[in-house]
Amino acid sequence: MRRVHKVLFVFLTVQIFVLGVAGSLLSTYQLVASGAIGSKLIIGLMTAREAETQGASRERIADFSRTLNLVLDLIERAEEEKARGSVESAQALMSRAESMLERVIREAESEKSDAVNRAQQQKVIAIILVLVLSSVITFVAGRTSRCLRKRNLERLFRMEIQVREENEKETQRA
Amino acid sequence: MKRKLSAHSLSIAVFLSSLAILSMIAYVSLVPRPKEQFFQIYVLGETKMAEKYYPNNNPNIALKTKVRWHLGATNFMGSLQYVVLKVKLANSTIAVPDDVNKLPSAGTSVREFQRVMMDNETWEFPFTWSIETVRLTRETLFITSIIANDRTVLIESPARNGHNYRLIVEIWTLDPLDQKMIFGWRAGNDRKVAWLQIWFNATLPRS
Repeated sequence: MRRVHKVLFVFLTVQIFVLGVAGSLLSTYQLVASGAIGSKLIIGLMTAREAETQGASRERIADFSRTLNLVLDLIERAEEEKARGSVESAQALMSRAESMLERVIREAESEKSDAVNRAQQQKVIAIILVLVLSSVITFVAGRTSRCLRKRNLERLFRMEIQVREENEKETQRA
Repeated sequence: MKRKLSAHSLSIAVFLSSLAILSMIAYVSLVPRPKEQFFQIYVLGETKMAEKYYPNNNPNIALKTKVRWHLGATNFMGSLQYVVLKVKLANSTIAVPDDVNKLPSAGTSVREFQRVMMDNETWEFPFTWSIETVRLTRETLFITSIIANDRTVLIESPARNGHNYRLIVEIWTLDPLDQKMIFGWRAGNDRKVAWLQIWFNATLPRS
């Protein structure tokens, strides 16, 4: 009888120990998971912000903002579920939020590189445009000044000719 | 020869000046103008106006009386921002946020609302709260629970005769440098803070 008690006692002790270890492992996992999701949220936000700074369209940024707000809602709901004790449902919500965040990070990265390329192209186009316009302005200004100088000279010569002709006429009359 | 040289130098001068002017125009059109970065937060009454903050305009809030406000924030930071509005309960002796040292209030946290906000976006939401339970010890009244937006929050906040309680609203944002939440926001090298408070008295129901 005593032996049975001993065995039962050992069995219960082992069971409590296993349950404790499992519980602590589960809570550690949850902590790590929520920490990971927190850092992913920050990465997603920062990447979206960088894409915005590089000149991504307002519609795309609005998309990212909407998704990130959905993620925040999911995390809040997961916390509530966890507080209620339904760990599975909380984990499902967390993993959904995590996959949404991964999508945001991926899309924001590609949007950022697209925006960088677009900005680079714009810069190149602007530089070329500035050079071309400056050349055109120089060419037109040169042409115009030459034309003006030519016209001035012609007017001067015409006046000179006119003066000479009048002088000749006066000498003939005299 | 001299005339040719002067024409040449004139062309170079025209080219360089047009280059300078056009570069300036291109720079101004391509680079966005820096603007002041700030947040705006506000609390409105139940009519969504700066009035009727208390039921029947009476700041003595009885137990289980619902108080309806609207909290709002507008992002003028020029970029996407992660914003948290923290609502805290404090009495008259608890320090309010420190504007100089940028320290938050030591009041008890009641609720936190978070959102990712776009530039120029206004976020407004209803905030309904009521004092759910209180405890009276001699002349000191303790608010022991508050229901804020359908969530019960257990607290322990004393005030003499239940007078001079206040709900403080603080704005917290994600600091892009430390990547941590900070009270207020960082605008360039500056740190700025914004907070609001509304006073009320807690009253016991007449027995």
